Amino acid sequence: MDEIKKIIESICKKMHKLFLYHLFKEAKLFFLFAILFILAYVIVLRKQMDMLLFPINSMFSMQTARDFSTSTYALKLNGKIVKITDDPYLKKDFSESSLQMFSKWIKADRKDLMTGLLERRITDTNTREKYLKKLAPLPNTINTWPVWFVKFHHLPVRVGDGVEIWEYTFDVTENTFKLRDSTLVIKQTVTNE
Amino acid sequence: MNKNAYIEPLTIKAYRIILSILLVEVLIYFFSGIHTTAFAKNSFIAFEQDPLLWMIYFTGLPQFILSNIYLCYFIDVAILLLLIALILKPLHKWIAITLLILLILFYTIFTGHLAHRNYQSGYLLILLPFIFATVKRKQIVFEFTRYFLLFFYVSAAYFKLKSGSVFSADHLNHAVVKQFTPYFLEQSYSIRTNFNLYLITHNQFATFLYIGATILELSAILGFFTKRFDTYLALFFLLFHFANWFIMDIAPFGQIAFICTLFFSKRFAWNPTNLPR
Repeated sequence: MDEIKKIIESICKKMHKLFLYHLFKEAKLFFLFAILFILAYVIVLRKQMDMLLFPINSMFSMQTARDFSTSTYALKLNGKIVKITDDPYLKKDFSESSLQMFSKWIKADRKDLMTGLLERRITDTNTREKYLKKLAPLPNTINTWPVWFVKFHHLPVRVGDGVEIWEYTFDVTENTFKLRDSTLVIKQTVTNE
Repeated sequence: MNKNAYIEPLTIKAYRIILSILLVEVLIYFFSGIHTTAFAKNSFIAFEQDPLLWMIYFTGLPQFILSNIYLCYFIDVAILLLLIALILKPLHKWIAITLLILLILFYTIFTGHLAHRNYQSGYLLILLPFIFATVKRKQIVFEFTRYFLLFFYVSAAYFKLKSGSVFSADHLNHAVVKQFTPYFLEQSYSIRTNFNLYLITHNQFATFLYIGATILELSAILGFFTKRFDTYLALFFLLFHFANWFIMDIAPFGQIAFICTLFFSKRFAWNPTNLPR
């Protein structure tokens, strides 16, 4: 019995050093929030989901493909690549990432995570359409987004200009990046500035 | 009663330093061309698994903002003016609340159109303590965000250990292959692209760097027991992020001011008796 009492006392002593213990003693509302936050995080971690504002930092921890090939996308205006690497870092990062996702969206027949998720979860077509209107790109995006991208880079674009998006695949061999292949993702003529 | 009667002038000065670093980060975003106005008329959105982001977009508010260019201008100007106002009056909670709401909107729009998770969300978390009026609440929330900052880095190390990638002899040299591809396509060569090629072809050195990065992240665990090493932890994290920019082309903009709070953690945080100092 004395042993148990001693253990309880030692635990209580240690608890005095805990942030959550002091929160419970002095700010019950914050304590409740902290507990809810921790619980939400446990759920998020178990479901392997990200959360707004509080992303889990699992970048580059997952195993990657064991080959030395990679690909990237580029938008061409009248046959000339719109350069992104001369831009400041944040703009380059935005251009690279959104161009990649737009190209993947086109390649996947205009389907993305959200369309797949809604198709699985919502059987009623009208309700699903209501969600898709807000959470997926509108149908005319296929024509408007490449023009927006060109304007984002402060390049003049006129009706009749040709816009193409290409995927370039590289192999790293002999200590250098070598272009293996290039595939046309989309080609269109600007119809509306 | 004056709610901030016990705040020392040096603490207010420290608040101003942190908020000024935040202002520099926001200016880096804006001068890089990343602001609400730049996303006006951008119709492409794509989300990752992020229910809170979905909910905000489901209200239609981001779409409404982006359909009106003047509203976009207003938001960008308001963010800058409110941040300057908060530097001048760091104890004014309503300035902080309004600024936080606008920055959450900006972050939501940015992430939705970036079509990719942006991990540097420290510029939102840093404002949480400022939205409370009393000194004690401010300090409690600073303490809370400090723990979250530490958790963020420890979790990064945890995932590397759990997946076993840190024990893999050829993980990083494969992971970096895709990091600089646009630079190679556009033939924008630099010391960083040369180093990228060096890492790809030297897996032992790449593994050494990866283990080093994991140790830097894991060092955050010290902060759960004491605040004595917070200055070193801040330096470690800054080193980690700038090395990340050099090696992986991932810049830390949005996270720097948040990390810098560790330089002032004893001054900012809540310290009832017995809590680790």
